[in-house]
Amino acid sequence: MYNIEKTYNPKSINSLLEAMEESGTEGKIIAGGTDVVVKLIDGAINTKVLIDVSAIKEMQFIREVEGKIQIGAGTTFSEIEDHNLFEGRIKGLKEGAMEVGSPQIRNAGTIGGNICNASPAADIVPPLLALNAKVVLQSKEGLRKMNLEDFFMGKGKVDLAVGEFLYYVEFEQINHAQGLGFEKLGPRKALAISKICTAVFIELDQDLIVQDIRIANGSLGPNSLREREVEKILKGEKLTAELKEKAQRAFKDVINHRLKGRSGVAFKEEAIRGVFNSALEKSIKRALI
Amino acid sequence: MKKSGKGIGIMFYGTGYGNGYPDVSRAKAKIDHTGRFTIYSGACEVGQGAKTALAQIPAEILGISTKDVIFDHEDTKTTLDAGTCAASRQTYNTGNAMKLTSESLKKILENKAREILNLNKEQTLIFNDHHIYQKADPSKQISFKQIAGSCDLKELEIEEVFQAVTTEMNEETGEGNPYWPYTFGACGVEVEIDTETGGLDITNAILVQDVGRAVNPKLIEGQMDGGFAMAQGYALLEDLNIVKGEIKHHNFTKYLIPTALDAVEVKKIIVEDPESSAPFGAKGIGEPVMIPVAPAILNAIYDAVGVRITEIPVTPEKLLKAIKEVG
Repeated sequence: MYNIEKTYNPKSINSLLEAMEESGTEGKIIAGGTDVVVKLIDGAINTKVLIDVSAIKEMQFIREVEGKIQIGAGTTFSEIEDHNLFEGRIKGLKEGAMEVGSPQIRNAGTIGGNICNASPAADIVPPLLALNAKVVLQSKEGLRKMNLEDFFMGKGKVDLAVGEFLYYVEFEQINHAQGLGFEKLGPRKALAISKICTAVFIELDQDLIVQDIRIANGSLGPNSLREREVEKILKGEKLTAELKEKAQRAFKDVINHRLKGRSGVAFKEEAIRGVFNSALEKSIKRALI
Repeated sequence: MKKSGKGIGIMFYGTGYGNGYPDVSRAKAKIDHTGRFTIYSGACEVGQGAKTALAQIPAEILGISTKDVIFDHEDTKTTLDAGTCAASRQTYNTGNAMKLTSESLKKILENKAREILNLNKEQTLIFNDHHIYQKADPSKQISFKQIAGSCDLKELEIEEVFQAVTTEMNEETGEGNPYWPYTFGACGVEVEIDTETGGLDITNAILVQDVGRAVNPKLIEGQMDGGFAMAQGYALLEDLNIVKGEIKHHNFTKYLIPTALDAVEVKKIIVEDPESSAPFGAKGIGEPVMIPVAPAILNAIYDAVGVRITEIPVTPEKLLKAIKEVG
């Protein structure tokens, strides 16, 4: 069982930074608590100091700044789900948010928590990777910006220094001829840890030539990750049934290679075809809106 | 590719403990000095609706409203043993004990009424809202309260017992009468299977249950929806994952049951064919409603993709593997 000796409840980023400085390596940030509380109860983490960021309004926002969308780390999945910015071409992000847990969990859980928990099965992460999102980190020294992809350092690990926290994520607004698709394969329709979740960002020209494509997967490696080998097959090519089939076959090989010897590989290398295909078709449909 | 298929499952189910095991329910009832009726029986309300359905039985017999039935049903200090809420036996078994007890008490009240009103056995009496009156001349009437005031209250207390018919089956000959009564049911489902991921959706479902007599149709429909969902989890999700005797899926994160989003809209048909040995013909349906569902799903899978699955739960992993094996 857990043994919390001290908690901080900062209302501003300044007081959060103070709390982090005071608690040093002992302090553990908690937002919605949908991962941290479970881990505390299970004994998977053993922290004595919790810093609750759920009251920091400065970390709760969804805004568009010069063509870029920024989402504060303290924003809940429900807020993303309900926001009108995530309709149409970019709906894949909303679909990822909607696949998280249940309504209760989405009301509490935050995008920042989902990223920093660094679970390979985090549903919101593949759409963000496909959007080429960046994370903006803050410490007393100031802001640091890096690719979300580089932020992950293995299962449960992210590149946060002591005294540094995730402030917001940022990605470019989707434009004409671009679309984001998402598909999840879980054991049931809600409250399910994904077996595979895949996001596809695509940009097509009038002749259906793939101008740009970014594919990201969850639950198929130590972290959510980009699938550049498959992207390479599609990029610059005309989108035909043959090309799609070629990409699907390549995907199977990639997964087989990566998960070789793991239980479930036989299933995942087959199932990825269907999941990828569904996410791809959604992205195409949205790019052609 | 999505492939769809249809399947049906049918079943019959023997109610009660069976195979000669004594299957006994007891009840006692009384009228108190205010004329109120109370019945005591140890049948537990575990969500199945025993409290509601069983109270309807004495209400029907004594001509009072169900809300006026004081049903004391779980207190071990006051109630008599009615056996377990198992084997789908409470409506039938304890229902019969409630019926016998209520009928005996009715007989006592009837005799008292005849005595006080000076009516012979030829005269028909009507019970209505804690009153008894002569059918031919309703002015001749008396209330339960008046009867209670005219005698020792001990005279207005009665106990009865019901024991189900069951004999041990002869292992040599197969002869015997292990269960009575039996209930019958059928289920039909349509499924849609994603042959690329092994994902399965139940797109249509119908469940038909023989109930003998529907004491409370709404409760039966609730049981049918619940039984279907439970069977859906049993067929498609629920896996204890026992490895060398150890249950690996020991919490609901790993042992998955259907969520509200997985639940299927089930068309429900109640078949009434009264059972002569049952209270007002009513049989138990707690377990029966679950039984035909998994076979129906397995048959629908066969119809859709041509594979016979012989192990449940049918997870996407198992289904996809089986589909790939047949090509």
